Amino acid sequence: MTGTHETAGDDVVSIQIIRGVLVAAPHGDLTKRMVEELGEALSQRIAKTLVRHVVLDVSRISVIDAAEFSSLRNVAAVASMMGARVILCGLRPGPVASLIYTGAPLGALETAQNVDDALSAHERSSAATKKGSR
Amino acid sequence: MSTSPEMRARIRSDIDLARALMLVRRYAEATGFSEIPVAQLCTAASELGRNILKYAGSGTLKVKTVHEAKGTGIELEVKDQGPGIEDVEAALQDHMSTGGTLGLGLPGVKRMMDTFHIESKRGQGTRVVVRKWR
Amino acid sequence: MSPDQTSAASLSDTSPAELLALYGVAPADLERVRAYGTILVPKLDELIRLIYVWMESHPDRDMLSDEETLKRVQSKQRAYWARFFEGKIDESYLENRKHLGEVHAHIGLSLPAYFSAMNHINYLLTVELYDRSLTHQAYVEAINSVTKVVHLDTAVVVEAYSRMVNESIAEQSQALVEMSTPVTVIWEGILMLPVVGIIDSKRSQAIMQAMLTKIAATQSKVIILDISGVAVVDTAVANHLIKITQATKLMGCVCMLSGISPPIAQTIVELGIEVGDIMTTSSLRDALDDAFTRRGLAIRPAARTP
Repeated sequence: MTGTHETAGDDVVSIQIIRGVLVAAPHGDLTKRMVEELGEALSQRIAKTLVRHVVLDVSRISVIDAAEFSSLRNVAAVASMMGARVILCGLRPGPVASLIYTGAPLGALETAQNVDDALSAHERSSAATKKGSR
Repeated sequence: MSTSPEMRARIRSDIDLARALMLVRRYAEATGFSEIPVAQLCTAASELGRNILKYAGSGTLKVKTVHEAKGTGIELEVKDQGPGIEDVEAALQDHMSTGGTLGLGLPGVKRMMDTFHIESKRGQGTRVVVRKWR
Repeated sequence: MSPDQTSAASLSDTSPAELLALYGVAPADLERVRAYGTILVPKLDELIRLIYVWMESHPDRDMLSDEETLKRVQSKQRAYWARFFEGKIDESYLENRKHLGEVHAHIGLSLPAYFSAMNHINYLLTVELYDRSLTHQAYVEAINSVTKVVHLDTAVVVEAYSRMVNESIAEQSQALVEMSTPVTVIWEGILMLPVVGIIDSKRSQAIMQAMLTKIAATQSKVIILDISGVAVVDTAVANHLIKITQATKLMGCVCMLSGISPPIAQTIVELGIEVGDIMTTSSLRDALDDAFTRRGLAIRPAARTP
């Protein structure tokens, strides 16, 4: 996985460009600060580079409650507002089960199993877009 | 077909409900009902029994054979001393409750059974009697 | 479940006062029991002897063939009846009876055996060991009171026994639940789980957990949940299934429901359950077919070798 690498804030979220896609990965369970920094870093990056494909890799998060999930969804919504397609990947069984059981609204979030799958999904859609008469 | 004697079950827990459903199934099969009506009777019993557990805590289920000129049938009576249903009319309309679940399931039960009778008053418990003819 | 646990939950929240009322045991009855005790308590050793003479002819006798156990049990029984004739029914008395029920459950004594024994003991107390020292009136009243308390005792013991048996059944079924969610890899990237029996909320959580863990471990993209063994699908069960499919979707895995029989399909429709875009099939075979298609696989006859 080559590409430029930079970190936001105190190394709490890593942001890399992999195969032309912006991959943001929180390093552990979310804190309010982390989510804020993530959101900020993401929108700035998108504004600067006009990247259209974003992956949020949450595979290092072992606990997500409904409120945190909601903030994540907002981060995705903001990025999406700025023209990027966002795919969430790496949700672990623990967070998934608690989200489902607390009845947290899932919204129209796109999900993938892991970063690889998310990247492939983005690549497929780019190829399709290129084929189409945009 | 022989007329089986009336049977009753107290419903105070999931286990009681599971046993009651087995009872209803065996009873319906012994009365000569075919696969689909048996499933309908069990499903109706399950819906009604579950409402007891959810809203009243405990109640009873009674199953018996009924005879009329047109033939043989089964009657299920489900009773509880719970809080009662405030607006029975509304409960009999198809609707989604806020949790995305299907409310009391009563409209479905009504559709599956040949006759449906409900008495319920706030603070006076609920009684539902349904019949299915063979 | 120790004897010193004085929780209100003993005898399903019935207080001594309520219990006495239920069995029609008034203070006068307890007084008579105590009075009758003056005749019986000196004869307790004889009572125990007669009980065991009777039990010799009883099928459950084998359980007490060990000499040491026999002595211990007999001494406990003697204490039991001594307490009976104290005529004081309070929390501690009930705890003692409840403990006996638990012990019976633990050693697997059958209830019919217990009932017939209590019945015979009642006979020994009121007829066999009676010394004819009371007036007819006093005797009738005395045995009436004694019998009422014997019934009360029996009820407490049996209730504790049943409760213990039910708890152990619940534990067994919990163990069964944990053993019964074998999520299998049936092809690369395709999982399968057959569900049999009843899906209540505890079971559905176990199912979800097993599925999600396996999906994470194998990074599978499709999981087939076969529900042909599920007896009843009502709105609650349907909600559980829908939640399960939502959960797997979050993990990037599609959940297909197979094994939907005609009766179940009918009841689901009649109940008005919206299945939405969940893929459902009647046979496992069709679900597998769909799964392969999704994975870009196709099954073809093997090329014939000449």
